[in-house]
Order: sequence, then structure tokens, then C-alpha cells
Amino acid sequence: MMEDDQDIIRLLRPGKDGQKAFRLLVSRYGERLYWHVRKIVIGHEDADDVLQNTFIRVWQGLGDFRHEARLYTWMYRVATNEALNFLQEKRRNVHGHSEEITGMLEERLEGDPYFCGDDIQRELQKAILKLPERQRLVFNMKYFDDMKYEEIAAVLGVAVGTLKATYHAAVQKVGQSLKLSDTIII
Amino acid sequence: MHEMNDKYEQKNPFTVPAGYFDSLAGRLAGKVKRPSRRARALAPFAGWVALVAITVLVARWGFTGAGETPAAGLDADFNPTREEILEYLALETDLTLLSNAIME
Repeated sequence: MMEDDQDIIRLLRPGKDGQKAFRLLVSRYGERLYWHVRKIVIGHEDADDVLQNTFIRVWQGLGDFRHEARLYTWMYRVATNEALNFLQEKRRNVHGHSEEITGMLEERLEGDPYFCGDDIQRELQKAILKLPERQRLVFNMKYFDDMKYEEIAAVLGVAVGTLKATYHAAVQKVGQSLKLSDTIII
Repeated sequence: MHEMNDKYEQKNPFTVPAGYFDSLAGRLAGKVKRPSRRARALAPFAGWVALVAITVLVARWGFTGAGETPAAGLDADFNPTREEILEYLALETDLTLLSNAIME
């Protein structure tokens, strides 16, 4: 979020090198957006699909991008929506049961060949998966991505005070889950 | 939360296949194609153009009765040579009638 996006925006003007702008966009933000999406959908293949859709949407929507928001904030919002839509689609396939989605994501976590964490980290991820969607998003953005409340507020369109309460509740629930699983005592 | 941070020092437990991020820009660049400025400008009118085109087609179909079987016409592939035409006329023409007509 520190970077100045003016160079990318300049390259997007008519007559400039659009492909170069796109590559710059991906190399600057692709990895960070990937990790954000990955923590929502868990599996690498799914994260890859969602990331592709995110960049396609970003590219198609750049003409409508309003410069009052930061480019990265806007892209983060697009990625979040794409990831949530992906889960929504999965939920629709299991007749709307969110518990089944949580179970599916846990299974994915268990069998994920691209998970290098230990048992404690796996239990933490499972505890996060049990959170309601909004709490899970806020927890991931705050705890893993180290985002400021103001930045999260800009992405999710929620007041900072609400976010603080949401994060606090999420931390309590994660702590309770870990205590119950006897994995760790916070 | 500080305790939690200490315990989970290595926060991100996920990995990706080797070289995934190195090839990301190239792979994605091949999948996206931004519509040209002209195409984006014309996009809002595309619906109207399609509507007019369909209306014209429907009206034309209604007036000309395009649903009827077309009348048999000349076969475009039928292109006989001069010799073939003369041979056809020789076989088909009643030469007796022709000679009588000349005599009269």
C-alpha cells in the first residue's frame, strides 16, 4: 500500500503500453492479493482461479476505476468479492449449508500439499475457518496481512469502530476454539 | 494478541508451487485482453444496434415470406459449352416442322 500507483495509471492512458501496465500491476500486487485470496478459499488451485478472475475483472474495470480510492484498495475489494463469490457458488452446490463449506475447507486444509505449517498452525487455520465470514475476513486482514483498520474499512466499507469490535470478537472465538482443541492456551 | 503473535511467529503456513509468482504476470497477461477504447465507447450502443438489426430481419422475413419454398431458378453450376447447346438443339428440335416453315 506504500507504493505510488501513478506510474501504472499513467501507462493506462490511451496510446501508452497497456500490457506493460498490466504486468506492473500483477508483479506489484499479484502476490499480496494471492495470499489474501488463499486464506479465504484455502486451496492453491482455487486461489489461482480466483486470482485470475480478479485480475480479469480489474483489467476490464480499470476504465471505471474512480481515483478517489487507492488502486490497491479497489483491487483488494475486487479480490475479496471474487473469493466470497467463489465460496457462495460452492455453498449453492451444497444447498446452502455453511457448515458443509467449513467442513470442505477443513478437508482441503488437511490434504493441501502446499501447506507447510505445523499442527499448531493447522489448528489455528481450522479455528479461523469456524468464524463467521465477516469475522474471518477481518481477522485475516488484521492478523496475517497487518493491515490498518482504516485500510480494512476502505476495502470492506465498514466503520473502523465496527471493525475493532469484529476483530476483538474474532480473536476471542479463535482463542476459545484453540482452548477446546487443547492445542494451545492463549 | 501479542502472545498469539509470538506463538505463531511464522504467520503464513501456506506455500505455492515453485516459480508460481515468477510466471504469474506472464500467464495472466495471456488471459486478459482489455477492450479497445473505441470498443468501450461503442459498447453502450451495441444493444440498440442488435435490436435494430433483429427488427429489420424480422420485418424483411415477414414481407417477403421467407418461410416459403423458393421458386426453382437457374442452376448457377449449369454452364454448358457451345457444342453441348448445339447437340441439345439438334436432338430436341423437330426438323420437319422447321423445314416446312422455311418452304412456306
